[in-house]
Amino acid sequence: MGCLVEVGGATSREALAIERIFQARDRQFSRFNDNSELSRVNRALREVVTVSKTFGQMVERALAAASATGGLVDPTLAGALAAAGYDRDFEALEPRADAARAGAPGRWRAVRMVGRLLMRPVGLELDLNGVVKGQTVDEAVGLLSGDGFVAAGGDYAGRGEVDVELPGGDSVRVTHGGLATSGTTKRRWLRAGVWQHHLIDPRSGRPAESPWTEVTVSAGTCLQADVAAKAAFLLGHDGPAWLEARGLPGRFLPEDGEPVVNHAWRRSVLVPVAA
Amino acid sequence: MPESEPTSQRSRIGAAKERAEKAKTVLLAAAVLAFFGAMGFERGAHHNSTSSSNTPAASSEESDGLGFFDDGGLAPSQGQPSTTTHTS
Repeated sequence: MGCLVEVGGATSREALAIERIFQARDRQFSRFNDNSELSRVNRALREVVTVSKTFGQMVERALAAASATGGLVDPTLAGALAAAGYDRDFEALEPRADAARAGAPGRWRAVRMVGRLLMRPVGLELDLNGVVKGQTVDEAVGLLSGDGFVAAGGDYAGRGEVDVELPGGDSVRVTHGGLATSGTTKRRWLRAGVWQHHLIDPRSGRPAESPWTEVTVSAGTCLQADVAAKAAFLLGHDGPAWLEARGLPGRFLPEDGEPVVNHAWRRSVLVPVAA
Repeated sequence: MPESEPTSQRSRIGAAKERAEKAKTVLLAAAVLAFFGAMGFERGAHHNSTSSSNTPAASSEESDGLGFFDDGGLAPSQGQPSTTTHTS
């Protein structure tokens, strides 16, 4: 998944099991490994492909996330990511002189799962990385026998209460559920002197323009938090209210200036000052 | 009369077999219909998506996400952070 996985409170056996589940998911869902199931599916020249149970469940979660966000978090943007220049492992990306292209807009409605049969137009490539990472963090924390946490690439889930550092300073105590940050300060690259990033706007097929550099969201699971953080980032100035309508605490870091938090975040985190 | 019993039993078994075969046929037909129905739906979705590729992502036909998201739990920090949620 191209990110560091941090585990706290695990026994050595649990840590090994967590390492294995992340490695297995990486082998199965990497866009850059020709032998992964995802690559095999994306290459398939048939509209109907039989997939593994785990793969099918991830597609179903991705479609549920797309539906819940009005299509903002879309699993069909692999082509747009490649068009923006993210066509190999992030560590291998180098600045290039040729300009990035716009990819095709999101087409999640063209994807269906029926049992183990995945149906999508030939050539429509899936990228399930965000859903897979969040879900794997949730599953990994379920392997802990005691209090602890699992954090991977901006996604966090814990058992017990843990203080977590936020982008731009500050920290917060997570008492249950997940916390996720989506943003553009890390996973970005240069094409023809213009910064590109991995948060693609499914309406344009290009990296999204947003007033935020980082959006952090708390939700019942890490997967939910990750999905909500991406949607809130893509919604720009409407992001705080969108989260508020769903009762989700959100913290928005602009390019310059202090973090902006919505009411749900303020109610949970900010200590009232005595008059 | 005793010999009529096996005959009646045989006919009952035969009728049961017949009913089971009919049920299998109905099930198979339903499965085939469901499969092609899903295929047709998918083709329709494909067609729609290519013909309206620039439609804004948000639309009223989708869920509002209220059933997808649950509450997490946050509180003020009380010590040194153990980990980070730095960006993905």
